[in-house]
Amino acid sequence: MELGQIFAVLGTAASNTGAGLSMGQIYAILGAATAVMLAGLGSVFGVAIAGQSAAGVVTEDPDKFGQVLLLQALPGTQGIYGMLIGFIIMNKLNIFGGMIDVSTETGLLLFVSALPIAIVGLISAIYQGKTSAAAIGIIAKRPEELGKAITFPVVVETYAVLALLASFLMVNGIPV
Amino acid sequence: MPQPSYEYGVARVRVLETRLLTRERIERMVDAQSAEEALKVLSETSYAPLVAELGSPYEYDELLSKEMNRVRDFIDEISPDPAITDLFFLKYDFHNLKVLLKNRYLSGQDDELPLAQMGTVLVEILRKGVEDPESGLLPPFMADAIKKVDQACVLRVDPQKIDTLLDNAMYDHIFKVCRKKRDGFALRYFQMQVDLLNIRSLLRAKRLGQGFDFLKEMLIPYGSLDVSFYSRAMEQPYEQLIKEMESTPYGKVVAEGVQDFLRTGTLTAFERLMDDYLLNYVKALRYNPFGIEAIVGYLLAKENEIKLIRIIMVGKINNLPTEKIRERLRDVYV
Repeated sequence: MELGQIFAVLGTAASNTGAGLSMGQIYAILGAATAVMLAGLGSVFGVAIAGQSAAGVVTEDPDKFGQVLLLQALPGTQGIYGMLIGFIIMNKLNIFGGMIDVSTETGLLLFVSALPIAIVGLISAIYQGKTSAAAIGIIAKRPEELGKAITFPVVVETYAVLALLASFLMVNGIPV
Repeated sequence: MPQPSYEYGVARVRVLETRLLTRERIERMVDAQSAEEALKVLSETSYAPLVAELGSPYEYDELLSKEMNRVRDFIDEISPDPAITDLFFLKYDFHNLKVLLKNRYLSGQDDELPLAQMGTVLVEILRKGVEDPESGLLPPFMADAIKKVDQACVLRVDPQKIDTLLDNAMYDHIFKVCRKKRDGFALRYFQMQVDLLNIRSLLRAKRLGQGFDFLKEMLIPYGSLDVSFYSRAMEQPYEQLIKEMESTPYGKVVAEGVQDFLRTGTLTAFERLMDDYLLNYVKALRYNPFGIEAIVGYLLAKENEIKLIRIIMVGKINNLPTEKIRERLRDVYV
């Protein structure tokens, strides 16, 4: 309710400045921004956690760079997923070539569709970063076990992929 | 200075753990025919550069103290929480304080004191601090401990009293830091250490045929065992003590340690079991990638390893039989 009021104010403010944005457009863009921001932030935390572990291993054993880099990069995917959903929404709005108008309902639907990847992306990336850091500990001791080490963070990835799928199907299914 | 993160520190330790001596290497050192041959085994490990610097096997002590100092610097460098890791070095400071103060009050000669280099305070500074506790060179809790000893020694010099006062001062500080930092891991570690030390005091007091009053002086507070336990144990036979400890985590240590104590009359086995017990506690927790456990674990493993090498080298130089050396070795961390 409060959120709705804020958007309404934003909407009027926007139309007052002459931009002529409808509420539907604002909701839709907010959805795109949320997906990119939250999933991206999750990846920032995730790769930073795993990166510190990776740096620790490389300090003592630079030969393991390739293996630990792979593990560090895993929590980076959520940011890409968020960007993907954000991009699809922007594309639907035809934001790059004279935005099309959408109804408030459609805008809200697009916003809600972005939530799975935004929220699941944020949280899963942080936890995947921690799992990656632990898996980097395996590489430190047994570099030959990369396959097993990578499995643990990949299990976390599953749920980010499911959220991406949900967001993708929803965004795709909303007629504009 | 910004502190490194747990993730970073633990990852570095993980790599270094692979360079700890393996049981197999230790066995080969024990089986070596001579001190030279034992050193040769060591030169195949991460000790290689240090072994290369050695003139003769008799200088092994220098090698080990160099390695220990390296470990000290390493822990300082990677510890995300130096307040906690420093606690594990305090025993060296207080060992030095005991030596310096006993030297002052009992013998008075100042040369060739067995001082450890590993403490949190440099030995030279510690020396000056002992001369003048008001100088502000030492952390307040150490200065206060020195003042307490000075006061106690005005009337009568009792080496036992010096030990007790300093032990208590050290654990006062340790538990204060653990509680302030809310570090359950370190708190539990030191609590178990205190319990086991108190049980050791108990055995010692019993052997000397002393009463509870004598033991009470030596008991360090902060343990998990009640004072009434100790007063009861002083009156009871050893078998009862073993039985009573059975249900506690220290059951095995006490049972085996006391049996050996009764057989040999020394506490060597008890002390070895005690060290192993504490090492195992840390060992079990070292897989936490976001905590201090692995870092402390590495420090203890390194201390243990250096102890092992020292036992082997002393044995080899003095031509002790292999079985005798093996008997004295502790569990290897890896």
